[in-house]
Amino acid sequence: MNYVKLLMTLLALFILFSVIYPREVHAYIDPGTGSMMVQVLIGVLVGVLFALKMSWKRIKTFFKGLFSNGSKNEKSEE
Amino acid sequence: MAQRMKNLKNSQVIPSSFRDPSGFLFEQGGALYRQVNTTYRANYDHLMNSGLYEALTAAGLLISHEEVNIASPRPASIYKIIKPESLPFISYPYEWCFSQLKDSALSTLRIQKICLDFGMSLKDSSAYNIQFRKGKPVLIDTLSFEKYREGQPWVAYRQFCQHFLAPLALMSHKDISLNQLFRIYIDGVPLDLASSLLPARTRFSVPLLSHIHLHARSQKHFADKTVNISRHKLRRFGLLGIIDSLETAIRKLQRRLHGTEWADYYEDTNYSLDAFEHKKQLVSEFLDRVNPKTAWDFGANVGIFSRIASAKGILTNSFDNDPVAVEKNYLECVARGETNILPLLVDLCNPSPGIGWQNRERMSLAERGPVDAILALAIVHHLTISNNVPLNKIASFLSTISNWLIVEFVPKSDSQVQRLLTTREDTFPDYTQQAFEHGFGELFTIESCIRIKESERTLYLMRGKKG
Repeated sequence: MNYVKLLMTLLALFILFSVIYPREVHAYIDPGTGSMMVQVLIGVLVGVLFALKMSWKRIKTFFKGLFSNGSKNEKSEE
Repeated sequence: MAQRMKNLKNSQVIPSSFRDPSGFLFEQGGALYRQVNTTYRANYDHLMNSGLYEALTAAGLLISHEEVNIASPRPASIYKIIKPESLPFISYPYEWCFSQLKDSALSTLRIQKICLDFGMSLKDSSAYNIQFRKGKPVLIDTLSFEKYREGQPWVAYRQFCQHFLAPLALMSHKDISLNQLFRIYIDGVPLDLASSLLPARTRFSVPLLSHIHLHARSQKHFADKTVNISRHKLRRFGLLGIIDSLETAIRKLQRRLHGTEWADYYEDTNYSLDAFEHKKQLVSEFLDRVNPKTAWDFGANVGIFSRIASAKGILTNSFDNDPVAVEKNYLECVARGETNILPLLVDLCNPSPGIGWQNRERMSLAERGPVDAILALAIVHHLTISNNVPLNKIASFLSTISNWLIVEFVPKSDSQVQRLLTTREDTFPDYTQQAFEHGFGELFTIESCIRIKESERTLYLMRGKKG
């Protein structure tokens, strides 16, 4: 009886443990973790720079449109 | 049942196709097939139904396939069997020039960007997943895609850096021949090696600093640590930023070309205009007589004679051991949009061996033969005089890979051979036209033998004796 109880307790603890314990990656021998971490590290910075780059492109296109309209008006006046 | 057993006996799983649990390649009845396993079902369906397959194949970035109904060598795990479009020749990154590797890298990134638009991502970015089809790089691994999960770092990032960014950076900043490292390292150039070989100035380039130097340090740092990966996220914009950064880095890398001994060969030869035209005409006539579907041109330099073959619709591999010549050849191929010619870097004295697991993951050059016809123009004297390979050994090697040979004999009296002999002792008493004909005559029948006008050279058309 005690053995069964012990076994059940151990089993319950094991399940609980696997569920709540965070997923870990063992990078021993496998260089994968380093590659993941460097992405996370630079990801924020390059993400912001990329967003700025895309916005800058849109701003440039917008102003190009403005100026080309302006020069069109000048031409028609001549 | 009997038919099924017969089919299975004829089925052969490709030796290099074992790493991917999603499926594998096998040969049956002389054709190549790819099995899609049940584990890959969801991803395959998403690829086909989301529009990604259409987008990639329309852009010429992914090899097309059709679904077929044949017996599988491993029916327990089967979901579907597909038949990809067949390619005339498989080549490897250590056989590519700088621009071929660069174009392959840019295509891979372009594929990844398109993938993200359809909710998918590449799960590997190996240079071996790219092949040249009609002159352009194309992804051949249809099972390379997985559904994108927001927050997950790009699992193929490490491989991209090792297979593309590192070798290209080394070829650009250090030495054009460093893609040969692919022959030693089966999974691309290790980043710690790349980091130590690259000159210090590369640390001032933000992309190279991040993706190679910092990346190498990070790999080393985390090598023996356990990390809770689910706590660290890479947002979609971060991933797009990384891809953009990699693309910028690759585009900025320029080929490092100094004049090599072969780069300006044709400006420096002893052919008169008439002699050159006569030689071209003879090669063309011989090719018409043989009428091959495929041809290999050894010592092709920038591909002038290869193009005589490719212009006739012959699928031509244009081999040379000088990376600058192959680069020039490839750039012309791209500029002209040529589809029948594939320039590749091959040293005839040390051709690509079989490498990888059991030395069978990547095929040796000879295993990718035989070929219908070989052009060996102005090369035999280099093998004999510069490399001490006896004539009968040259004949014997060529006879194992082709039945037809268009070969040029250059005598000692020729000024180019004289040039070779100025720096070495003339230990070649047997290098005569008679010895040449005798050396080749054991394995080949001489069908035609014509002296090139205004030169001392002779062009031969030979046919293999065994068949």
